[in-house]
Amino acid sequence: MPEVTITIRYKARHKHTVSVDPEQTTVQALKDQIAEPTETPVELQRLIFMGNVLKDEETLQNYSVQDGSTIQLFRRGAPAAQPATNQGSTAAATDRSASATSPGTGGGDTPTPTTTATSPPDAALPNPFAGSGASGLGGAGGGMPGMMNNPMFQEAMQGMMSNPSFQQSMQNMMSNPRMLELMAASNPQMASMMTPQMRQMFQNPEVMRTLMDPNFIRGMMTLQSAMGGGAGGQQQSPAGGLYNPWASPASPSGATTTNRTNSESQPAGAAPDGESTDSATNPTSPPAGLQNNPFLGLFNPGLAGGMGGGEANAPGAANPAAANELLQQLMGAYGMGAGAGSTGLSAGEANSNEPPEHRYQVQLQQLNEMGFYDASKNIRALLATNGNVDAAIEYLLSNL
Amino acid sequence: MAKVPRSFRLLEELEKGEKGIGDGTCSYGLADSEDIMMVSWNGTILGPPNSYHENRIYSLLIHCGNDYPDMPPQVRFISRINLPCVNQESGEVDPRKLSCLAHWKRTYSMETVLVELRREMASSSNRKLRQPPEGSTYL
Repeated sequence: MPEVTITIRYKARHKHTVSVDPEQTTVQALKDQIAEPTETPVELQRLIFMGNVLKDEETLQNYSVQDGSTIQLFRRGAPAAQPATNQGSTAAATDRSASATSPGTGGGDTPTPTTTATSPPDAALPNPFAGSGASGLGGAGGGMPGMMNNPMFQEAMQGMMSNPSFQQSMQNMMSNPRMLELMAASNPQMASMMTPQMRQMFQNPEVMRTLMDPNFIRGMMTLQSAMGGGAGGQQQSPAGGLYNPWASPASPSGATTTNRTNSESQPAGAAPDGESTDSATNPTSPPAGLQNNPFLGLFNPGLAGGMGGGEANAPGAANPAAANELLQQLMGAYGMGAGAGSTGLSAGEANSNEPPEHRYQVQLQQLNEMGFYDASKNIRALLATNGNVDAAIEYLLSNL
Repeated sequence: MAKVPRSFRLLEELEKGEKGIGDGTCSYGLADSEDIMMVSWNGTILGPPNSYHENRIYSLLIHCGNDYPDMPPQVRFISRINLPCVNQESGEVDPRKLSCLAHWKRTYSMETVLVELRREMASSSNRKLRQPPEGSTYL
């Protein structure tokens, strides 16, 4: 069985990724492997995955560990087993003093590592910052699975896509070879898929028109939602990987958000315009253009197959992922203002790496002013809605 | 909002559990990955700091019946724990004594339950309770 990549989470919001072969790797071996990078001696490690405390002699496969899984590492409090009644032991005392330095509410942005035992006392509320740590890796990604599946987001996106001026500028942008170069340069993943064919395709106005066709986009979105369910059902198969890419790094969020937060200084981007005005007028009709769109199959063989078969087929996974990535890139680039150039692009990328509480600072404040005081909920709502305050409010109200 | 069917809901939760929720102090997953009805789940709660439970890991069983999430899941501790809402004979969580179970809403999830149980462990009224030795179980 091939190696898979799993994430070890430790010390509340630190992460370490390792590649393992779940069939061959025992828990003991995994502990050996991560002892050094996580600075946790093997004998102090306790690993938890999906409600199980992992036992040393079992293989990871026995716990259904698969690609993309996250295993939680906790550090045993004291080396020697503490008698249950001995509450005032020195080990516990030191832990306590350590926890005093870990602020219970606000200071999530301090990078100082806190020990596992020192998660804020009020950790019953899911710590928003720890949650956001999940998204740290891939920029805007990780923390918002299902973002693309969020109906509100889809609606906004569709609105934007059916905006003629958007289409116009998109086409202009795509017909500029330099722009493509820039995009390729700004993202290695893009670069790898910038084959000559791809390039040619992008410079062909006909293709671009189809690609940007609202019906096509809508079709893609519908497929994505459908895939969300489909891939979910296939948890045991590698198809799980299919689901993740949708919320992958360099999703438009980073770019659009910057656009939003900077909107005072920047000439109002067309993206927010499109979102706020057009989504209202744009009826969310069924994907009419889906069947007769010739490019769907070409562009997205994996997806098409996945839909036809009712099951995701893993080999095709890389393809729709890449295609989706590209689409997101395009949108992201647009969010920065068409033709903003390399500086704009790289700024967008850099910003999407920020923790959400930074990225959405302005939006968070707005929500707070409107009386939504639960920071963790606010962040979740903003992540789900991609930083759109209006949509976030709706989200918050519908999830009361 | 449209009602999410049971299976979709549970798949959603399964995926969430796989990625790890919140700060990782609560965790859950399918007890048997072959269980296509997704009825039996395992859960763990890391004891909150500054309590008897600090550094202990509590294991639970969660049973999501056919009417989940319209009805709350049945929750039962495997690890022995002394809490007012936990039956000391069986480890079952008394749904009348845990507010999220007593006032169950469709939007609640297994995470809600685990998080609230952890909050119970940390609450000042339960802090003084004597706890059974670590590692002892109900089963």
